[in-house]
Amino acid sequence: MTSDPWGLQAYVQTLELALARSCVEAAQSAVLALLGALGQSTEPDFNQLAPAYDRMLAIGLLLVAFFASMAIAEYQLGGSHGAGFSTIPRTLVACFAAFVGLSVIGYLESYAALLATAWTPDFLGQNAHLQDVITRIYSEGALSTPALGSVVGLVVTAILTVLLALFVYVELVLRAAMILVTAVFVPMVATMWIWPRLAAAAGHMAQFLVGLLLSKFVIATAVYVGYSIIVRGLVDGAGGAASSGMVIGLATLGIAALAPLVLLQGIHFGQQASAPLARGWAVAGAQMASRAGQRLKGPAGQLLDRGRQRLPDRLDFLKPKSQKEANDA
Amino acid sequence: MFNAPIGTLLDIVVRPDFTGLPPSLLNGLQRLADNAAGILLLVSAVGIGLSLTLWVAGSLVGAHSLVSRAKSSLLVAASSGALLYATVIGANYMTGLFRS
Repeated sequence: MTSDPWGLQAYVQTLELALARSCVEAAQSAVLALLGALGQSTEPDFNQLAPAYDRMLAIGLLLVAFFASMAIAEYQLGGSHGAGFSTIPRTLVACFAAFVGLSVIGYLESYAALLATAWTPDFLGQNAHLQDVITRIYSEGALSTPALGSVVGLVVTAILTVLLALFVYVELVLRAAMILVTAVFVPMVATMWIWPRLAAAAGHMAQFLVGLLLSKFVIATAVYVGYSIIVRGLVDGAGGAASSGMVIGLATLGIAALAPLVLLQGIHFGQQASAPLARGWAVAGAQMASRAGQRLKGPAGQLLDRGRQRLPDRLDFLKPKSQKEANDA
Repeated sequence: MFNAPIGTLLDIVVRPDFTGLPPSLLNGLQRLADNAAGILLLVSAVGIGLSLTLWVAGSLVGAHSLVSRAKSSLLVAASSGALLYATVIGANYMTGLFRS
């Protein structure tokens, strides 16, 4: 008497294998699509941005006089972030930066994109190798030692790989959108630089943009490392070492999805920038008031002392005590 | 001057688009700049008045340090208008350099 007279076990095994095979192929396709996304398809198109940039440039140029006036007025009032004669070179530099900002970002972006293709040949090599191994495994008709000890483990790993690849792809698209949005504000932030009180915004934006540009390289590297470990787990195939390798690979792909925290920083950009600015303005107002008072107090006190010294004797009661004592002596 | 080489090298050419802005925004921004310039001139006028007063008073009582300080304050206050004017000229000059 056979334990499986209907051949059900063999049927289930065939189903499992077919499912595992399609899942692994889906994961492979997802990673390949992600590899394609690391190319030009997820790069921002700066030529499309030019009309919006032109308009923002006009707004920035209209605000030049405002920022210059504020910088000079603060300088006169004794503020710590005012600008006197240095307003003129600052204006020239700011206008130059506003005009060339988009070109510079486009230039830097082209090299950031080039950097992100550093792993492409290795990706392609690994993928071809993986394809051979998968074909060989499935031609044997059974998975002897699948990942995580069962076919289900392999399926779950493949599904997770597909999800993470999708997540990373969305992140790359989000990065491109954020670069475009940030680049539009370059002319305004450049003209804000004329007033030293607002100059920090330009530095912050530059750091943010460089982080955004380099995030693609970080994502590509993390995907490469994660994919390499997963491929090794699938190809080498056996035992706990392979399973743990696959889990580590998945974790690394997870890092690829979560690594560019710069995107999250971008969401907090407004909050982070505005809170210190508001505090800075309050402190600066108080400082300016006290310095203006001190400026007036010095000459006024000096004037009063001189006047008191020249007072006639009959107004002796108005003279300072020290001078009175000296006169008496 | 700059637009042509930048356009050749990087294929991106930008020009300020003042005509695309809504008239209300254009007027509003110009008014904002005018108001800021007004504040600057007000501060300068107060500075000029104070500096002159201190100069005269310092001369009367013979406080030479006060007189020299009043002179320098007067120079800064009096030149602020010219400084703003020079700044705007600088911005226009830079805009002209990018006009191809």
